[in-house]
Amino acid sequence: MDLSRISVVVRMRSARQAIDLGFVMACAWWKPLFLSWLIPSALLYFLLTVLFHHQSWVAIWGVWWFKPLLDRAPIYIAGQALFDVKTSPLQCVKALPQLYKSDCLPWLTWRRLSPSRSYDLPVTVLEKLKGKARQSRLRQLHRENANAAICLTMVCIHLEWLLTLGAVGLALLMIPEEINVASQAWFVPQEGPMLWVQSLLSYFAMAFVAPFYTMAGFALYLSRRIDLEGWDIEIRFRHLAAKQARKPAAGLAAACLICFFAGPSFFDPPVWAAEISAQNKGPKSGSASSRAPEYERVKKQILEILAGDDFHKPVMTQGWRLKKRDAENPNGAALPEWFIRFVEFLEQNNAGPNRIAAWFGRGARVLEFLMWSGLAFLTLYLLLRYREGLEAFARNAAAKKQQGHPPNRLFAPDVRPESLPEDVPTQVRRLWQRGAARPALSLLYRATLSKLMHIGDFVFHEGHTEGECLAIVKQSGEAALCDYTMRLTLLWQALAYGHHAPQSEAVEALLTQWEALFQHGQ
Amino acid sequence: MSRIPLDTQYQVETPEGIDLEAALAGPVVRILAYAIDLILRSIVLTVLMIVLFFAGKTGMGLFLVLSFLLEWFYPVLFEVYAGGQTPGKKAMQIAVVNDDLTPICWSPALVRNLLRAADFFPFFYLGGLICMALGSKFQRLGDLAAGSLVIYREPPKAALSLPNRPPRSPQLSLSLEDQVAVIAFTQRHGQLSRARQQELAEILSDVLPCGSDQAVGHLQGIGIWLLGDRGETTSL
Repeated sequence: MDLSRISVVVRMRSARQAIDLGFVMACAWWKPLFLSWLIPSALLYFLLTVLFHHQSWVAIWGVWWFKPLLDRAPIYIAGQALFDVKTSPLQCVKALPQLYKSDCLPWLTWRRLSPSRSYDLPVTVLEKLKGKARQSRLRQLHRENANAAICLTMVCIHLEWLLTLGAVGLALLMIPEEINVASQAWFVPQEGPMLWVQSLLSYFAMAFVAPFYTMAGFALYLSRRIDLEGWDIEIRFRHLAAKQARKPAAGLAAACLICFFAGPSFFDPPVWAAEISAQNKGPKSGSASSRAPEYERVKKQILEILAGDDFHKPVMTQGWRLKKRDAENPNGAALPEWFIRFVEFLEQNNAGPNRIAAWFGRGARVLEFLMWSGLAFLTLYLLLRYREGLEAFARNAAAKKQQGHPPNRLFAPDVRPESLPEDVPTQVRRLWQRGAARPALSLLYRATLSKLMHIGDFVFHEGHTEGECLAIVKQSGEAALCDYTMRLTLLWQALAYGHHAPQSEAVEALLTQWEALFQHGQ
Repeated sequence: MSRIPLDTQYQVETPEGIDLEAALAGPVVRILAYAIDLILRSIVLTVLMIVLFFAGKTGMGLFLVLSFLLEWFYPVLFEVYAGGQTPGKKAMQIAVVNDDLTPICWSPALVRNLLRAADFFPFFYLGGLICMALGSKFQRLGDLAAGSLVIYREPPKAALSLPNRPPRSPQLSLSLEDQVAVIAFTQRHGQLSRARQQELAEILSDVLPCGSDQAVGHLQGIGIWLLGDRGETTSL
């Protein structure tokens, strides 16, 4: 068993992952596995068919019953392929009798229905154990993966059935609908050629599933052995031993030394170094001093190697970036001459860093004070300089704020009775005599509308114009009211929109009439 | 035969240069997960049918709509909102992910589940099963179309007990794989038989400074040291 030639990744796997690995193995080695199962079983199938051609079930049942033998060839081939050994067909044929013979009777009788067959078979095929030895081995193996092996068998039994039924179904799908077939007779045939077709399809389903089933069981067995025997550990240990053996004996010491010096970059430094040096002091303390020059030499060598090209990989990068002016002309004008001289002067005069810091600290205080005062002056100056503009701005803003709230009644006059004076004509006359023609006439008009609404029961809406109000009054058919309203409206319109002041007589006449109409008529 | 060692691991390298690894889940475990989901769905449908049976024709109509939704969107919703796991997948500790190992999102989940119709062909998901068994990444047709994978999501294993040995610093350079092997040798002291441990340790007897009879203990000491126990010298 040469583990270095193993063709699967050796690591710890859960049982389910091992089954998956089995499927991968079956795909990778499909041809030999499939053929090694198919050819012997085909022979058996053919033989049984010839012998029992009246009972179609015998052939398929026979193949099914002999599965524990038929499954052995794939496992044998996989056992070889696992270590990268190709089995030729001739070799396989030669090995078959021995394979089939070993422990044949138990497997075909009381172990035939064992649910973990594929997991147990490698013990018979590859380890060639029988009787008690086999049982103790199985006990060891079955501590893990046994449930998974049973699950695998269950799933594979169902897979065979699904494949058979699926194949029958596919055939049914291919038959045109016009041809009347009793599909029930296809799935559960009772007689005739359909029985043979179904038997053949079942056989191929078995042949198709067998490599997957045996390989999954083999992978479970393999994974269990990897766990039990630490194959992954063995592979690495052998690798390590071979690596160390390749180095000459003197090289080993040198390697240790190099590790000692280069150690800090790979291992936790203090403990390791301390332990090594302690050991050097311990058993070999006599030779420690004699080795000192060698240490120096090796150390020098190591430093040389570390400084060499192997540890410095030059990398060229291209791209645009800002030039550093100082770097270009070191004596350039980045710092003025006097400043450099000033700093030199400070240094020469023993101005220690603390004093410089204190000095700069005080300077910074002054500077801060100056800047704050400057800001205050500037604010004051700006306020004074632009005070008028600011005032105007503030007023504008206030006006805008007022405009922001729309008046309750912009064009419609206030016609509530309480908004009107007690004695309207007197008030109007007073306004008129004072020369306030517009307020006077406006008041009269408003009072008229109000009276019309609250006494005459006319209905005016907010959106009505003067003309519309007039039309409403006209509809009522009251001649006196109508005539009065018309005259007043015309006068008011002439004044309001035409800026055409009415005659005093006309206004006086309206007022008199108003008293007659509204005050005495109450 | 093939020289690339066979395995079921799947690796992706992120743009940051980090290797992500996952174990692909194969047909058997997926069949079992599907069977669990199928049983759960059947139970829900049976209960629904019995309840809705009393609502007459309306009930039957409602039952048909619900069974349609359950059949087609049960996996989608679980995969998107439950971290790629339907109850069956959760029971089998597997999960659906995108093929860059990111959590599955809506469109791949919809595609892979609507294409179950293709996988079902001709009957009983045979197309999907054959595709899964023969494909390199255990993908069924829906997975191939959606760019999704089914991987294992197993809980981390419990820590193993360590042998009672004084830690020893290794006196030879150990590569990372070698260190892992020595640690595994230490951790699996309960699993490996004593004879086998001796056998394994003797492989390294030329390399170790002690005699082959103490090799097992010495290697276990190195393993404990590598696991971080520095014994008395920790105070240094």
